[in-house]
Amino acid sequence: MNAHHFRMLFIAGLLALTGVSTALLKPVPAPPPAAPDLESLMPEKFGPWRRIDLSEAVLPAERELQPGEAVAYRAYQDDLGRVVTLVAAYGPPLGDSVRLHRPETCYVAQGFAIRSRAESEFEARGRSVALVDLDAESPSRREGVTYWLREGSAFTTKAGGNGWRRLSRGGSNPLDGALLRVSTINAEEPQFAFHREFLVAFVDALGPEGQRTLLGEAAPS
Amino acid sequence: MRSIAINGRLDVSGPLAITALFAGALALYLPIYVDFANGPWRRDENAHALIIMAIAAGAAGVRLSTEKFDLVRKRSEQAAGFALLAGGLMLAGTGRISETVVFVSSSQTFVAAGVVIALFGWQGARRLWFPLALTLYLIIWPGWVLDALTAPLKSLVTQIVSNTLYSLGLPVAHAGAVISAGPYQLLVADACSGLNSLIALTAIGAVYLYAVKHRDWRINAAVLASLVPIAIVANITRVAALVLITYFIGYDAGQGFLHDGAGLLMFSAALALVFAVDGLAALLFVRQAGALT
Repeated sequence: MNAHHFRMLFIAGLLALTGVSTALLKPVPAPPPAAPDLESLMPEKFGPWRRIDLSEAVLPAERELQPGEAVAYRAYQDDLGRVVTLVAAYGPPLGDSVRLHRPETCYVAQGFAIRSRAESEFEARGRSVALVDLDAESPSRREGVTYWLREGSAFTTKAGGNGWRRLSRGGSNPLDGALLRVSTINAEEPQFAFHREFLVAFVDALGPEGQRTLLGEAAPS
Repeated sequence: MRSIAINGRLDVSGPLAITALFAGALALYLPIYVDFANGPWRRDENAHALIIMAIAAGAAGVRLSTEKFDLVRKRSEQAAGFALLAGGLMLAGTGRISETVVFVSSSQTFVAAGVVIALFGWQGARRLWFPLALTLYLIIWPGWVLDALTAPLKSLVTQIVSNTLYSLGLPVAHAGAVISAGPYQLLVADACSGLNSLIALTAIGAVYLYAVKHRDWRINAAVLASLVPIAIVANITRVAALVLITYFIGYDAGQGFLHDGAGLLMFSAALALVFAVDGLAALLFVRQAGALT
């Protein structure tokens, strides 16, 4: 046994030790949870709003749903005849290979130009939700879009890895995520205040399960 | 500095140490590869992983078993090697615990480089540069990185295809990633960005150059520089061909077996083009060299 062999054995030991210790610490892979039934979690009717048939919407069309994922599209109309299109999507906890389709990407892919983008905050049932407002325009129409995107219990407004975020919070389990997007077709300026009004009423009408799915666990009070 | 051959005259502890090294690597990476095989490796953008791994292992194996590698005595080399190894193991560990695939997969590069430098020093790393560089192709990038590359490639492809066909007098236009050709509307999917064939072609090109071993660095440079443009042009041609097939023959033809067939054909054509560039460069530079002497 010379120094060289000793070095090799030492390296072998390091590799094996890392392998064994991470195998012990690694979270047990949970079976992919059943996809939530978004349709039944969202209200049919609330305040002045009632559900109507969806005519046309900008949809992320090209992907098949993976196990545990769910998407729902619907439209609501209020007493004054104003129509809001809503898209809700849920993704199970899957780690960093998940490809989130943010509305920015979907709209640009369908030929819209994003004229402006603004971020804001909004209080919903004890959670502070980060919202993104988009003013999107295509040759045929102009749409105002407001969305939130939840990763675990945090709301993110930019594409990026969540690995560091997870580690920095000390949590180790992959996060689930949800997207809620509302949009209206506008002749002139998008009515983002109107979107807020709708979202406040919509969130109030959600049941506990719907809140958990779309907004995450409430912050402990 | 004393040198021994890995498979030369060794006392019994030699094979034992080598076996232990492989066992250690297996203990760390076998469970990881099992997870990858059930997940990321099944997706198109990582389909090349196993082949790349086999080529890297083969290239490293050939060198290690046919050449003599000097053993390290220098402290600085060992320190660097063990530092890289420690970094790699930390990446593997944190990545595995937090299920961050990009950390786990990139740990392969650090661990491989660390082990090589700790055992054989810079000299060894220089001689094993090719398999070490190939491990970069084993990195599994997170979805948002791929999206950041896919989106601009896709819009480039869409624009060039629709502008070219329009300037040829065909009723073709695009809005975002939707190409309309006469009565048909075609959505340019993520797969059409050509990112996967770009990755595959650059990997194959690198392996080819390594295998051929040109004396003249200019030939290598010419081939390397041609890889990315060739892959992009081939993909643009493929998408344009599909638009033309749809426009002249019909929607079903463009979506049917011709869709996959066109992809395969274009990839072969791109490969042939790479070999052509290689042959041309060789002809040019070898003749020059001949004229000089």
